[in-house]
Amino acid sequence: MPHVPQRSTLAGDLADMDRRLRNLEATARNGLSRIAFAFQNDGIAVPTYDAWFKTDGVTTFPSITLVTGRRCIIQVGVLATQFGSASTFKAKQGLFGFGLDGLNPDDTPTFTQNLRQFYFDSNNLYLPMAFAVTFGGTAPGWGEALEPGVHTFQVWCWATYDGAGSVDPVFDDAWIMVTPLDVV
Amino acid sequence: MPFVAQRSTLADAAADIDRRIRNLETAPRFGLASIGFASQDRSMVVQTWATWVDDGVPIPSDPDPTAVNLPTLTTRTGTQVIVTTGVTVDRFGTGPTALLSAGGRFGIGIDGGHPDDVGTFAYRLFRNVGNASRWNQQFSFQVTGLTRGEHSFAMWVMVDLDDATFGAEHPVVADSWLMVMPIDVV
Repeated sequence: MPHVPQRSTLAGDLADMDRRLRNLEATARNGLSRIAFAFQNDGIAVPTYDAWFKTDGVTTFPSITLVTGRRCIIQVGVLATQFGSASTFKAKQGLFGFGLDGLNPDDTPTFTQNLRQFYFDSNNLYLPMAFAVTFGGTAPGWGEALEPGVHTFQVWCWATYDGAGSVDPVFDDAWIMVTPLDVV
Repeated sequence: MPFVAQRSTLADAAADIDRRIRNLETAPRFGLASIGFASQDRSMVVQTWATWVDDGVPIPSDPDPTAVNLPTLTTRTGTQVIVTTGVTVDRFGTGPTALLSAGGRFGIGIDGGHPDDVGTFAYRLFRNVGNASRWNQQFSFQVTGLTRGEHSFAMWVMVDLDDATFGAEHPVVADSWLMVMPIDVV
């Protein structure tokens, strides 16, 4: 039987528009509307050496809890100061990074690039440092995919004890931003 | 004649809604799906001076003897992207620990060009913060005027030779990465 265009009716038109609106409403949205940023402008003096820490008991590094899909961008940064090789300083090297869902950066299982090492031969500089990584699964260079759902991302730091100095290093102005990229 | 609002009919309302739905259905989408990210975990010893390089030799402790390349990526873009890039630098300084270089610059080239070809906003200088210190930094910039389509983005470094007489220790770059975020229609 040949195709015969149907004469549309208002009811038919409305039903068609309703269907199309439902499609739009159900279309997967990327997660930009859930971009989150957290910042801590109080400095945290290192409370424990040779171990990851996220608080000195009073002040805590910034943390973000949000719903993500599988792909997202994590950016993190700190301002490290009171590190140095002079005898007054307790440490000249450390680590900073982010941990996932309560784990420290070393234990975060889904990525190996979520921390950075630094050491300062100069004394008592203020050095802002930052890096970004991605979670994404199949795309090259994107790291493993996240399990869609609620996740917590938090800044963690580490200082390596050097000796007999009296000045504790400080991590200041720590920040973290999470950019979900796919369905949330 | 004064403006008189027309009383719409149900059919007019339906036609208007249909038009608006079509706008949504055919609206251009921007390029989050084609965000590109690339990184290089291996540390790279820089051996060439005062020229942009995108590779070097591995550090002695690296079991892989092949050359280390800085990260590159190819992705589809619209006319504008935001590029974010970062690197860890190590073994720069002015002595007395026999360091060859006290600083340099790093940045991003597009489609085979150097950062200089993109613009002065496409690279950053760095200088040592002590001898053989190690730290990392990142920066971002926006590129406009790209042709829609695939483009390649590559990271480059240029290192100064500061102490050829006494220096012996070559500088190292590590943990280099770049991210390209298309921000308009792709």
